[in-house]
Amino acid sequence: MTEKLIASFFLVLSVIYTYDACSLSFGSFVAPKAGFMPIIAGSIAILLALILTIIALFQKGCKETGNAKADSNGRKLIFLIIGILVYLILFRFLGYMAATFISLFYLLKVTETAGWVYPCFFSAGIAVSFYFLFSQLLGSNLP
Amino acid sequence: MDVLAMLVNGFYVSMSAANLLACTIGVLIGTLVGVLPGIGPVGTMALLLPFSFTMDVTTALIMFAGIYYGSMYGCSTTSILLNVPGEASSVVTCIDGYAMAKKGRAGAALAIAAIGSLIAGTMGLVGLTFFAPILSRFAVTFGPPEYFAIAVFGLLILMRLTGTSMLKSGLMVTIGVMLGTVGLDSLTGINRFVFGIDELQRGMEFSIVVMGLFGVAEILHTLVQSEANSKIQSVRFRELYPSREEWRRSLGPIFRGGVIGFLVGLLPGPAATISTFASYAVEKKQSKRPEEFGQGAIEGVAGPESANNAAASATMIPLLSLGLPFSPSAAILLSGFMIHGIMPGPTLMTQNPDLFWGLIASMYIGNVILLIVNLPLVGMFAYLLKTPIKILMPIVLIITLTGAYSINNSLFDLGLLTAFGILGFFMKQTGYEAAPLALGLMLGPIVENGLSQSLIIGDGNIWYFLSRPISGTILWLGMALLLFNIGIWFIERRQSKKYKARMGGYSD
Repeated sequence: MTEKLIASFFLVLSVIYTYDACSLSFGSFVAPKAGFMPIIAGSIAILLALILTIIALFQKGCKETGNAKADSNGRKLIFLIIGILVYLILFRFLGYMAATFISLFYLLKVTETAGWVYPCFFSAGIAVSFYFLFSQLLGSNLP
Repeated sequence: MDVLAMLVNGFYVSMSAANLLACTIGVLIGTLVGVLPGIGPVGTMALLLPFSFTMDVTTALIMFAGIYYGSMYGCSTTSILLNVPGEASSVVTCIDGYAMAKKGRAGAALAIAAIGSLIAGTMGLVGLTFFAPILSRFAVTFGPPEYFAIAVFGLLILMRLTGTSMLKSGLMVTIGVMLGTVGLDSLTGINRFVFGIDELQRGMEFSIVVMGLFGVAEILHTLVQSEANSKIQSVRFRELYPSREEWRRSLGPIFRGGVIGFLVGLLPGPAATISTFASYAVEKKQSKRPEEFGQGAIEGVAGPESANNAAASATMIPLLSLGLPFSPSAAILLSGFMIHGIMPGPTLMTQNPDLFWGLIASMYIGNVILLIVNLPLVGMFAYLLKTPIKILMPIVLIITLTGAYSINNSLFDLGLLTAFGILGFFMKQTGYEAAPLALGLMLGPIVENGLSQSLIIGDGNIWYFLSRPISGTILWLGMALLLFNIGIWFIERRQSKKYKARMGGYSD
């Protein structure tokens, strides 16, 4: 299923790219313009992605059954992605230190780190020390 | 003699306190990222790229190069002690390295891996020292058609060598080239594929894409698949002495591995990984005791571990002489040059001799530092392996996000990093390699500029490429390779169909 989805994703991406590339001037072989390379690359990508999508669609495979481990991994992945996205939002509104503390604490809990006190103090320590390291020692401009 | 005089000058440059410190820090960080799963040398170098703005260019590049070849050494530690390859280039070492560890010879395996890395790495560097200047002088005469031909040929070879489906590699290369066209077109000055987003006008930031595909994707993969650390074999310093018999059996594989690694390292793609497989196959065929391979044969550790270090040195040749990166790590090094306003290529040796020779000399020194520092510290690295992945990986993720933000102080970059991280995770699950995409992104603008400029110079005549001796030869070779790839693909499909028919239509 994932194979079909990813092949279809690349196909859709290539079609959108090539469609947009067509709005740029192709020029000619004597004087190539901005759309020259994108149209060639996009066309090749559509062809390859189409072949891969067809192969993926007609591929015989084992029926995907409700495997408990796979389900748990899928859940963990979704929670991890949510954690990263939340980090981006908090980073924007609360600044580096608070975002790092909250997100790291959340990620440690998602990865099943035992207890509440240890992850809490650990996250706070990391947030403060990373802020000092990146902002003060390495000169990053952190919010 | 001229080369030797310049190399001596390079040693003066690299022996300054700042450069020696950068080299030591680089090889230590490299060893560390090689030992710890989750963040590889490419992700680490990309992460440290923004912090090198304030550093001297030679010092920064010495550190980055140290990270690259240090990681080649570091990944052998996990392979031998834990049966877990830190990087793809150490998968082969697991076979006999871990078998030796189970027999109580982990110390000897680690020592041979380190000494082999030093010898073969130095062999690769000797090749780099003498071959890179010759290629640089030769490359001064190259024009756009030659650069176009070399870049296309490199991408075609890469499609064959990644080890996965050629169709998938081809698509990844093309997607990389497509991503490379995002932003301001250098020839026409037109913004392409920016969709009204200001941040996209500067193009796809290579380090962000690489950190997503190699860093975040690997972290997600490690966390989702994470299992408890296996039992780690402990090693004491006094156990790091190979026996006389082990020495005798290792010398040949080390030198053969050095030669194989150097030759394979000149090819585009995951040269270090391929060289280890090639070396293992050669050693098994060459051995009088092939039945011992897989049961703890020291040749199975000495050959591949030497080969990957020699390959790491050889990868620098196309980068320093032509300015063309043939591996993701080399592409990051190229970014390191570019953020300091230096373009590696044929003129680097004459315009920045201190940088060129200082970098090469630092690699000689770095190889020795690796041996001196790492062998006594092997116990500490083994101890680090006991750090629970579920604590380590979230920290690495936060470091990656912070590093990505620091490049342009842009939240958009963090969004891009996350998107490429998720994409990279699913690509990994479905056998789409990230390396061809990264190289397509880096080489794409070179291909586009080379093609456009050559067509303008040649009045739109395709034969202009083919009639020039160098570009013509390379492109004919490229076409032969493409036809060969297509032929192999059809043969493999036919064989696979026949096999399935014989198995009664069953397929997994």
